[in-house]
Amino acid sequence: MDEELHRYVHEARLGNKEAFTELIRRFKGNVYRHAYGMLGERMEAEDVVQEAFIKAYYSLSRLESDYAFATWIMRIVSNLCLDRLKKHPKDQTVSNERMVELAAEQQGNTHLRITLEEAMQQLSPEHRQVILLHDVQGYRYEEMAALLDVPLGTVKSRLNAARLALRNELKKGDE
Amino acid sequence: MMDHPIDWLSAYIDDELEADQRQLIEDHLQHCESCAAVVHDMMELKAQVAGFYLTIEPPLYLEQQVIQAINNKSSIDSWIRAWFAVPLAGILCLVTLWFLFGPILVRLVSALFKFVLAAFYLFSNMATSIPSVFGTVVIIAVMLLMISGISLRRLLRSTMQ
Ligand SMILES: [Zn+2]
Repeated sequence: MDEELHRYVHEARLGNKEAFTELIRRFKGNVYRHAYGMLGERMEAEDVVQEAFIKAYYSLSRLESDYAFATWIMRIVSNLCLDRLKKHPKDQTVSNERMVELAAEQQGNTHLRITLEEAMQQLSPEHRQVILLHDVQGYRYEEMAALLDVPLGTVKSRLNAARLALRNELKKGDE
Repeated sequence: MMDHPIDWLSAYIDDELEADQRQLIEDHLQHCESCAAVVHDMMELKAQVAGFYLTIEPPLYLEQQVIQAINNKSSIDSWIRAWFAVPLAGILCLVTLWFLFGPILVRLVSALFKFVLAAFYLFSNMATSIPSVFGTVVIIAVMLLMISGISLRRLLRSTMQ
């Protein structure tokens, strides 16, 4: 982690809004990508990302170390996404229109499958979460265990189960 | 031949296994087509997920939006603080006044109370001793009430039409 970033975090903790703006600029990509992956919708993702950064701004003083910002903001957005999905469980099935579309395509023998993104949205939020944290955000198992506050073994088995589930979803479209 | 180590395949492709575990999996994959197929699919999926989601870009105006929301929130907060501060300051003033001039205030208030009582007594005495004055006041009051009532009705009727 570079010194410049460390300084921005430090300044932001002292209430410097310019420094906090810089932090948003640096982390919004990762944070937004995660929220989008979890919620599958741009407007909702934008909403949650805003909420996450506002929450971070007001609780910066509780951040244990200036160096922990990246993981910390990811934990905040991750939890907000799960909360939102629990409050408003999404229709876990591919929309009817899309099913009709798929059926039509299959009759026409153009071998169309559900897309990767659609398959991801079929997974449980916890499965989606570990796949995104690992494959998109690039966290190692141990870091994920700390971020999610679960044992290392849980991360290992959850990610394995998540990938098998994703593989199944995509195979379904093949049949 | 060991059972299919299906639970370990993900950790295997992520290089999160101890050396000996890793060796066991590698040996198994040498002669198990179904596990090898799963490993192949998983690696492909991993690359696809990264490839797809890394193209997702956040909106450009996001940091402005957040800062604006924070500014709005802090101005609302300062309003709330102001609304709390005014009555609080008033109460504080009263308390300090009480501590500084408590005994004097008590005397002042009781004097005022006596004065009001006396005035009330005087007025009721006057009203009974000079009935004509009292009667005139009552008649004027009733007339004023009636006039205002009539004009109010007229006003209402004209706005209704
Ligand atoms: Zn096998």
